Amino acid sequence: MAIEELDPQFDFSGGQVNGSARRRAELPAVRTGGKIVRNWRTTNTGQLTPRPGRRALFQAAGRRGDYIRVSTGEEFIMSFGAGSISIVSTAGVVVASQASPTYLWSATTTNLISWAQAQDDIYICFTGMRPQQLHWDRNARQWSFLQFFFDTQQGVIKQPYYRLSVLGATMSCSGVTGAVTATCSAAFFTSAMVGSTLSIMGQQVTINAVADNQHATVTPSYQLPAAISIPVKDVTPFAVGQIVAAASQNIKFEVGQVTVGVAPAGTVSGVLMSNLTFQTGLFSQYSSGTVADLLVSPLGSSQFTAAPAAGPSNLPTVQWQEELMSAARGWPSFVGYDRSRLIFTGFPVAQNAVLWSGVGTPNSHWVDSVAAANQPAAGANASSAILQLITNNPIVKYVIGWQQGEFCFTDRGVFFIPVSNAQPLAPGSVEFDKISDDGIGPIRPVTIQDAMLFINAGLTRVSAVRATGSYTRPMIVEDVSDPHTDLFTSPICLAVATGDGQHPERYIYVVNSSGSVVVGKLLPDRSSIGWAPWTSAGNVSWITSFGPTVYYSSYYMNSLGAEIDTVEVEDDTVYFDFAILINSPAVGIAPPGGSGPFWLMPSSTVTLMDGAKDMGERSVDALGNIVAVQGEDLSSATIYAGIFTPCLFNPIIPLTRAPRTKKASIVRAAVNVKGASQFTLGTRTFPVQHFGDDATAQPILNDGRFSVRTLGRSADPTIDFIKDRPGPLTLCEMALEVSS
Amino acid sequence: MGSAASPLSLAATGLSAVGQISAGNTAANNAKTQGMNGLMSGFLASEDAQLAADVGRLKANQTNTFLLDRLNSQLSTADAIMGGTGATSDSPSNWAVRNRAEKVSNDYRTTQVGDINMQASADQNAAQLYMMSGLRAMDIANGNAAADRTNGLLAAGGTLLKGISGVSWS
Repeated sequence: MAIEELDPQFDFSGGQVNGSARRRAELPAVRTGGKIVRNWRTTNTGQLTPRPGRRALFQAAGRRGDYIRVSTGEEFIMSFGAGSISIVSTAGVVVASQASPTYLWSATTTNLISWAQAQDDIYICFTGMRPQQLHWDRNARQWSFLQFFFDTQQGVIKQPYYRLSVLGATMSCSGVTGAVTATCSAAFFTSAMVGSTLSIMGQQVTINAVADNQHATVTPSYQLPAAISIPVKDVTPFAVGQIVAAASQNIKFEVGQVTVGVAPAGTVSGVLMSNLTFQTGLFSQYSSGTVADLLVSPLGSSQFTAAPAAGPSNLPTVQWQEELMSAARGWPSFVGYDRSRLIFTGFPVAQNAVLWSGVGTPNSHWVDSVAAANQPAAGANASSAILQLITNNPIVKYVIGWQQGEFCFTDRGVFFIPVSNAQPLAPGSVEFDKISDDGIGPIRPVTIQDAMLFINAGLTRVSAVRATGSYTRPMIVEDVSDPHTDLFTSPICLAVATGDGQHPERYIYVVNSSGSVVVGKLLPDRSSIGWAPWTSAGNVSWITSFGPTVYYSSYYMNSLGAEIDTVEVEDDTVYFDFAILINSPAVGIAPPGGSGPFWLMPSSTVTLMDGAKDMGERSVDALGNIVAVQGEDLSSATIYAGIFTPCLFNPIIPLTRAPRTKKASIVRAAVNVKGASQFTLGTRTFPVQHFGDDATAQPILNDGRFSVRTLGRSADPTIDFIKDRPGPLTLCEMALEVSS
Repeated sequence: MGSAASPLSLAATGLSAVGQISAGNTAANNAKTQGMNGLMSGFLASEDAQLAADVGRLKANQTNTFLLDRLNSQLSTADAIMGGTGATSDSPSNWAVRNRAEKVSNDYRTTQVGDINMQASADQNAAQLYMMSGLRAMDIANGNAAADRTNGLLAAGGTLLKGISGVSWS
């Protein structure tokens, strides 16, 4: 029998590795990871310490709570319930709430809500729903709930127009002001369009009534362009639908009618594009002296034979457009905010479209390609709104700003949109550079240090977008979860915490739909992330963070069979979930009169601690009061209680030198721990309180090497290191002797 | 009783009259020459202005053609650039920028061409003015020449009469 002392493991940053990789001893993740690494967090130097507990803040109305902070400094959790929104202060006080049938999300689909903050306004999108807007009044210090609206100015609705229907069909109007009959050359109008607007030759009209699918009564917000007729020597080069212009005078129009007089002479008529009104005397037959001006078409030109005259009404034009987003055409399902522009994507009629608002005007999205010729604010100014569609029709899911550009995540790849002072985000200069073919899942990406993380469309992998520093290939996408893919089971949320709070480490959180959490930490070389699961009696439905502060939306099943939705905050100083200072519960979960601190968890069992002192389990009565052991004093202000979840580390034993054809056994296992309260290694428990110790005193924590001998042989020998009681511990090293 | 004029005195009177006629003719010729010069100067200036007007019209046409070509080239380049940005060819913002650029360029073109045409018209008008000015100078010179001739003849006649009146016929 050969005894082999395996290389000790003192770096545990690899996380919990896929079980099937247990023989891949050469993999860094296997050497630094474990078969089971549950409920630990990895420190910057690679050691394991129990994950933080969660302090209960308030009972929530829903299963998704997102952190927001407004300009006046107030901090809130925006809690989404089925068809409802509650704004709760981080102290747990509900400051505003609204339930509405227009909020289309259910209790199980709140993870698909998309929102963005622009100054003191919150914009919310959900599939099929008109965007909603929450406004914080910084003077009154209160919230109001609105439906999203477009800015209007002098009758112009600042919304995007795009030709969606009956391409090639023309629209003709019976007049230029007042009630005008619009006639479409193809079936287009529906009664559902009443109240919506069209852009005809860049002028907005409101549909007042629909007579049939080709006729409607519309009212121009200002005035439709007038028509012009120009007699020419030869009408041969002119055809209906052409854009024609005079060679010397500022005349441009879309040809709507060509009449032949004494052939080939005749008259060319159309709706003006260069001017809104036609004024007699403004235009001349001549360009200079007695030299006649030319009317130029794509096919040729011909001289004017007389001065232009006013044209007839009802001339057709193909230059008309529809509202991109409306009750009739559907609403965007994603909203973002970057570079002072609000961003909408996920339009039912143009899934490959990205719509940016004007700079600093999140409710102004005026893009009208025809109107822009004469009114540059309609999409031609650098600060105007932008509407772009990506080639090959990828479905745009998210547009996120980060570092030197924006990133457009779609179901068919990731696109980089470079933005700089030299190339600002402006109409005409938006460039979609594809940097990856990876599709993205329905989870908003997050940024951490020098990487942007996202979960793939298959919900099985976390990938990172990184800057390379290369001019020719500035961004790349790398997978950062390959050894851990079995941890991700239908994830629904991704969040990060910066290491500026109780601990210096930065962590990445993935919430699985099952309620479990997978937490990762960038490895020192930043090439990968060590991921490990965090489990709890309370299922986690959402995580939101702000800097180092992490808020959990979680739900617990109580003894009455009710699911209690809560918002908790991560706290390194507590070792429980749903942790409550029993003598001063948080405002948001303060018990009603006559009830105890665990009134939401009646008739249950909780664990108590005071500092590092493990006080053991106590029963909770039907009113939520903790049942003290006879004679026990639970009046200390620092006693807290909650639900404890053990931590488990099970190492990978690669058997590098042992024969693979024989069974092996672990002869001896040793751990080196620091500041440790009670733990168990294999079958042996190492307590911090012994018979005869003062049970009321703070424990003297273990520090040093602790070993155990084990029995039994196995093809895959293993041993558990369990933090089976709440309290501090740092696992610095694990060493094993193996026999074969 | 006066003294009788000598034959020599009569001859001198005759010569003086002839000289005055000759001086009148010379002044008339000078005036005509000056008028001709004025006419030629006006004609030349008119020709210059007419040429400038013709050149201006040509320049207007060339400018119009150049600016149209440049606009087409710029729009084509813009189309090529925007075609390579990963956006669809019917992206509204691309068209908004394109339409606006076309409008601004057309405004510039029509302004430029209009300015040049106005200058050409001014030159054309100047040509006519210069021509009229030359003709007017010629007319005035002809008038002056006739007057000079008449003045010479009258002065000569006066001199002759004065000389003859001094002759004693007794």
